Amino acid sequence: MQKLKVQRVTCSLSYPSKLATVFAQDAGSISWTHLSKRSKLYQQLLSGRLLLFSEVLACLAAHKVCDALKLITAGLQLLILREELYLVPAIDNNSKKCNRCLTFDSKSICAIKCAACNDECYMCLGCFMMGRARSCLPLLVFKTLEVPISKNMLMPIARKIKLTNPQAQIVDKLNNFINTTKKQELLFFAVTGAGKTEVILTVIVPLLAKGLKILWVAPQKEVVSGLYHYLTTVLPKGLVLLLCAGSKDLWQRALLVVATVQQVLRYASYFDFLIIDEADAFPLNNNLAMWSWLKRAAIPHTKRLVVTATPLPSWLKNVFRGEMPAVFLPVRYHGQPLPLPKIFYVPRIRNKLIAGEEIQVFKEFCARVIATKGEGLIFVPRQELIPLILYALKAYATCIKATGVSASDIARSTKVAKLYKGKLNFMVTTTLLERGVTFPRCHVLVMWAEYFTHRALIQMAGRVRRKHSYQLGQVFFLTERITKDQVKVIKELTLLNKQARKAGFLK
Amino acid sequence: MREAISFFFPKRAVCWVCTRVLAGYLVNAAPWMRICSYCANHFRAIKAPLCFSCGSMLRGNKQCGGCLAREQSFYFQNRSCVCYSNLVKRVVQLYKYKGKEDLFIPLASWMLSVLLSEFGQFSWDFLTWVPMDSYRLQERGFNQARMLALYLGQAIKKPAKGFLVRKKPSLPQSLLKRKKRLLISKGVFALSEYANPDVLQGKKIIIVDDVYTTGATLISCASLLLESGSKQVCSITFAR
Repeated sequence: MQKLKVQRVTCSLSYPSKLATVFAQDAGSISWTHLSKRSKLYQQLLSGRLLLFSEVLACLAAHKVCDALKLITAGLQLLILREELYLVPAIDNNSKKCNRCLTFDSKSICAIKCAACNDECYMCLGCFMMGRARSCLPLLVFKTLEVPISKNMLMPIARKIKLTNPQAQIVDKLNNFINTTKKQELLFFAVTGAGKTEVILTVIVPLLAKGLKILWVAPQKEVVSGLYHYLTTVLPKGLVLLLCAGSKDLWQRALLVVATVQQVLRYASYFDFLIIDEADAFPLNNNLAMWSWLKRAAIPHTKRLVVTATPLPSWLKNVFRGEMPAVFLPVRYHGQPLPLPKIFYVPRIRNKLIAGEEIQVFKEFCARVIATKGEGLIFVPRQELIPLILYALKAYATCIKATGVSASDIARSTKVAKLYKGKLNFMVTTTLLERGVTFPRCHVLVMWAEYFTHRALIQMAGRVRRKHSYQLGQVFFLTERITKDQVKVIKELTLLNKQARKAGFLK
Repeated sequence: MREAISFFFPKRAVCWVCTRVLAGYLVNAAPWMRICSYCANHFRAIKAPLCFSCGSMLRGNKQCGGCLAREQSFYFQNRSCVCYSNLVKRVVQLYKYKGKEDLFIPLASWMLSVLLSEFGQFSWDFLTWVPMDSYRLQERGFNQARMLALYLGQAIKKPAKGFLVRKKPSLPQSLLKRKKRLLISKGVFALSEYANPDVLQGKKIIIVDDVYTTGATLISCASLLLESGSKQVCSITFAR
């Protein structure tokens, strides 16, 4: 836990809250056996959670526990006395720090006039989308309970996954890390389309059979739901749980939890193993608070697997220093080399698009996608540019069925699903679809490539030729000015291909 | 030091809806100016011709169909700032349910301009707000209408007082259909201890709320105030 001082607040509260005094209410006419039974039930349902009181009620309601408020508070009070539950103020009044989202940004705590406690109060702007934390509210930290599971249901899965030779080598190394090494964190660096998911799955199946609780986080909702759909086809039902905004079973429990990073906020020292997928992507990339949520969600000294195709320079530095062990998979699962992008210098792209002038490369790209019956993925740096490209696309050919997708789009999942089904053949998008998606017959065009970082460009180029059966995909960068990042992409990809050839992995 | 820095790097205005940085230094501009072009496309400010009583946008009639159908025996006017589009809905949800309290400043200052242009010619005595039941107040921590009313009251230098209380907790109106809303909001409100007949006698009052949908809440509030002797009651909301 990141320097989180757990203050123990006893039941005779000197605590500045009306809600907290709820716990000190008289249990009255509830019989003792009934009360202890119910409190055990609450403990089972809520173990390992870090919740506000309103969230506790929501969780119990989701499990169809319809007890009276008096009974619930009495049950929770019993848990506090048995030291199975701690109360912490959601926001520390003195240090002005949010104990829930652990944010380092001092601006995110703001003073309000609270109508609930009739006093000056603080609220946190860092996590208010997940329910409002105020300094007059307690945060309930439940201790983790061991949950027994049946073992033999997992055996048939491991045989289904076929691994290639390089992948099998990686699995051995990862198993070695989990079983023997003392280091806590391991960097798993594999190129795009290397079959990371399959490798990790074979590693975690024996862990799941042991009954360990595993958290698999990824920063984006699209990536997480894609991962969940894959895992449900391989693993038995009820073993995997999807946690993301709008998910139906937010309050259920399962051994393998697939979640967006934001949802991890509601766990404290619960998981036995962490997998952080696409760890360099947006909300995680320079948000220290989120990393400390991940640390808090796991039991202290558990092992973490940091998975990425484009590691941050600071991690690589740690690896070269020998502080962080690393595993490196330079080849795709089908043994073909990574596609190299072609860079085209096109001045004044926007003016040309507005005037309706032809851009030769753009036209070639469209013709190529249509001729090879593929799917064209066009990346733009800002969502305002999407309609402009859509307009230009419509002018080129009549058989183009295109839409645009961005993060603020409400119907984004249905649009992506349409592209999967083949009802669309062009998609204009922002960095939303840069990672974690696999379209079988994909071509990529990056407009205004000078605005993207080299990590984003590598991910975009990595969407192409992911299926062995379709190797016609091409990557084009259109740019108004050739930057270091674009050159770096080509250098890095050729280096990776060289490494793979050296190791004898390429077919 | 901080002043020196802010002299060379003046504070940039951000869109108060999506927090995107805006071109130009519009820090103290009106809320409808401080929106980015993308959000502005989804905000539709209400312009004349309006329905005389509920304040919705019309083509030519004097009253909209909903107001003509309603059996309303008294004089009541509502005015609002923007149409209740999807983005506005999201903004109101962010303010009300998610609890981003500082949104009340742009919302209220927008309402202030409408208040002055539409109701400026009358001389008002009081402002009041739509009350909330105590359990939900505990849960939410603030009354969104009260904050708007206090801001408006300060701006036009008239006292804002809570004349009304909610007698029984009701489901949030946003979960109910039109007919049920109209039925349910009868007998929900009552006068509070501030609302003596001597205080209210012959006074003109504005009720403040965040959203006007069917008007059930606001009209039942208004009828209560009129019954207790006030001369004229109108209402102002952010979205319509």
